[in-house]
Amino acid sequence: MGDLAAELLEELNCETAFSVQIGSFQIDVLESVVITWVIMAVILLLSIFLTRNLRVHDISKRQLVLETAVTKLQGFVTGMIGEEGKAYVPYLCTVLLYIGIANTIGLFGMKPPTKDMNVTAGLSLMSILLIEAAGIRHRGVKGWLKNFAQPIAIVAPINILEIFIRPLSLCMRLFGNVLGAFVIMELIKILIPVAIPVPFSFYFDIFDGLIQAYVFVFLTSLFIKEAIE
Amino acid sequence: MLKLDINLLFTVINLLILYFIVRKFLFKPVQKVLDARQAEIDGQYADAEEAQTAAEELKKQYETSMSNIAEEKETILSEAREKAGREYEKILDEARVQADKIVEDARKDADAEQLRRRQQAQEEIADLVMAATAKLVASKQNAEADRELYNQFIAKTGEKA
Repeated sequence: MGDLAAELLEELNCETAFSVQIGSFQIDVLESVVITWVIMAVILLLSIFLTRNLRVHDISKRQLVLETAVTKLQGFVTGMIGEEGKAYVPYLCTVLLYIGIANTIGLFGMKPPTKDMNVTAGLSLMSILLIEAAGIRHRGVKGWLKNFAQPIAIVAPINILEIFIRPLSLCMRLFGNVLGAFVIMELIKILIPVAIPVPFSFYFDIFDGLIQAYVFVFLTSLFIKEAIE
Repeated sequence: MLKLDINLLFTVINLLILYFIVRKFLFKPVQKVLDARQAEIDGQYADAEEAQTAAEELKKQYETSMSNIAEEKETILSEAREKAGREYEKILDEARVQADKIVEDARKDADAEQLRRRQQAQEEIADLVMAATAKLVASKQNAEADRELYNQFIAKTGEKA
């Protein structure tokens, strides 16, 4: 039993991939960041490969698939945020792609980066910055400040608290879900390594991972929509 | 796992780079192709519309010329009809004049003939009377012969008249 706990802890631990020494500072670069680089490289290479010699006429199957996928993805996000939030669609698509891949990368034997709180915190930090920036851009600084006193002045403290609560909940929801799924999957894999993990993997690695990506983007776009209305 | 450190910053940087990658290498080329296609479709629509406008213009011109032709036809027809009517009247008048003349001539001829016949008859009667007188004078034999002659004369005159 001690073995199992140690093994589990070992799996849960986010390892330091490598360290860089700058002067007296030691910078530990975590595994999650390195896997993120891998994801970025994959997206970059796939993009370059898929967008090679695109044509207007008699398109290849590859281009057809690519066009359909891109249009569907953009349409999907636009459907959530609305036409007036079109400027934020590319970022939200990026996040959707990234979290979707990050959450399901466990299938390829890598640890999902979203299991590291640094990543989810970074994501939600970006989200709240984007939300507030969108609010300021669409209402002006004055309008944005006034909005804190909506619908009545007395709720202002709660509205201000929301600036912190929203990213926190986004961060923790994603982190908790992925971590929980990862822990369960690791437990199952340690206990019964054969056959049984497959259906669970379908749920925890694929379904839950994609749902969490969707939820994260959906909530972010909801908040942005609220801010620019 | 639960600690926040410099890797948060790395994540943010990674995200920004990924955003750039997705925009520049994925969305931009695809959007470019889609836009190009859209532009082409729009162009085709514009062309089609232009062609339609031109066709309608042509049709209008055609209709105008058709109505002009109909009008012209009407004018020409009525002109022709009028001319024909005039010609008809003229011919009729001429014919009438000619007919009158012919009738007049005929009447004159007939009158002249009558006059001539009458003169001829008078001459013949005169001749006859002369001949009868001569016969009477030549053969004054008897009353019977006189009566015979007289009867002959009456018979001859009756035949001639």
